[in-house]
Amino acid sequence: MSKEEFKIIYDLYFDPVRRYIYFRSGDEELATDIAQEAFLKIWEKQFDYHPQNTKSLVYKIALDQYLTHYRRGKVKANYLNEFQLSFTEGSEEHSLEYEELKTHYEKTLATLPEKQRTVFLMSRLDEFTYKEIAARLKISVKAVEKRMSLALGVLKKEMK
Amino acid sequence: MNDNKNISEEENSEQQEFFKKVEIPFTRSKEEVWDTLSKKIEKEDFVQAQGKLISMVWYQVAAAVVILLVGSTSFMRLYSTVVFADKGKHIHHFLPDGSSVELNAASTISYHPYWWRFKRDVTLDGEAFFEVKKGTQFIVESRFGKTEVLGTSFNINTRNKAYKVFCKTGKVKVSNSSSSVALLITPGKIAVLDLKNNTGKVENRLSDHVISWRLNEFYFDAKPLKEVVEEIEIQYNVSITLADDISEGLIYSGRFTKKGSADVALELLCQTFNLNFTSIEKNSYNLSSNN
Repeated sequence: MSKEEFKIIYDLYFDPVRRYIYFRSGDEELATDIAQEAFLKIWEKQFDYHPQNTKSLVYKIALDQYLTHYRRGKVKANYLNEFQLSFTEGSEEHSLEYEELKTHYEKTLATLPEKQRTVFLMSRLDEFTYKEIAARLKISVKAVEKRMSLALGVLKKEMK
Repeated sequence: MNDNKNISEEENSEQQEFFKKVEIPFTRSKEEVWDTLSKKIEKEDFVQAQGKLISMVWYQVAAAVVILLVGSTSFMRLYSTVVFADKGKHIHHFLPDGSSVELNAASTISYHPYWWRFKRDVTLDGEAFFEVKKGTQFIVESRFGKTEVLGTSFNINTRNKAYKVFCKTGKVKVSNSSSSVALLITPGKIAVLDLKNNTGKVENRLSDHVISWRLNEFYFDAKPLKEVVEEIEIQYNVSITLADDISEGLIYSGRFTKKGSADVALELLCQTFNLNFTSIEKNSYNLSSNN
């Protein structure tokens, strides 16, 4: 893997991978660190660059890094407090109503099981198709659908 | 049910609209992380390159040492000293460990002086008397046979297509070049290899005469005239031509010393067989029948 190839992989996958870890952990600092470590590892291991395989490989390595941290007890189960969203700049809606809605979403999302939250946010925030999500996480499309409908069910109930 | 679905779709689209407007507030941008990452990578590259450089230097040092070792070893192994005693001369030579070799006329030894401490090995052509210092195995090799000792004195004669070893002190092991015959002899004995039949025997006779050449005395016990003449040629560095009318079956027993000239030795020989010798030029003689 050349430095140019590494840069291509980084540009393609750094953001989605970091978000993926954030969706799981709800810890913004940790997600950045894990993503950085994962890419360092990809460089050190000098994998052969295959555009097709690299996508899921990058996710896999990031997840392994995350799980290692998780097992070492470095991840505090505190995303109830930390799970945060913010409005994109230039958004016209800054009303109190919207702020309230955002807080409500944040809290509800934090209560969701990790897997459901991850799939839901990948679909909504990253706008990946179910097929895309399945490919990245190396799970079946059926599993994505299942998690998605479970998440939607909870949200529907909570957001009324 | 239809209503329900519509509501849920409506909710869904509201939800989708909402999520389009929110972002996750990461504090470090993608570019900042890339800067950190590339710094780490370059540092690693540098360390690796340095490591490679150091190991390259070590490889070169190792290669130089190996070449030096191989070079000096092969030099030590292959460098040889040759000592040659010309016709009419005897040479006394000391080997690196203090063992001595007395070379009879027209004889050569060669050995590897820098390899001597590993292997005491001498190649001999002609006749020589060895006095070997005690130590590791001492080997004398010649075309027809091999003599192995630890520390003794002995005489080897490889002339006239024969191989005769006389043991003065200690024990001497004599074997032919194919090692099919091996004789162990003790002081006073002579080992003679029969090169034609690949056999060997131990003789036990007038042993002093064997090494009398060292004192410039030459004994011949029932030797063919031709061999005696050859010995005179070697010892006095002369050339002697035998006339056709001299019988080939003549056997000579006798003794002469090198104190005199070749004339004196030839005089003795001629008297015995009633022959004549004439000097053609300096150091060149003709032997003919008196009749």
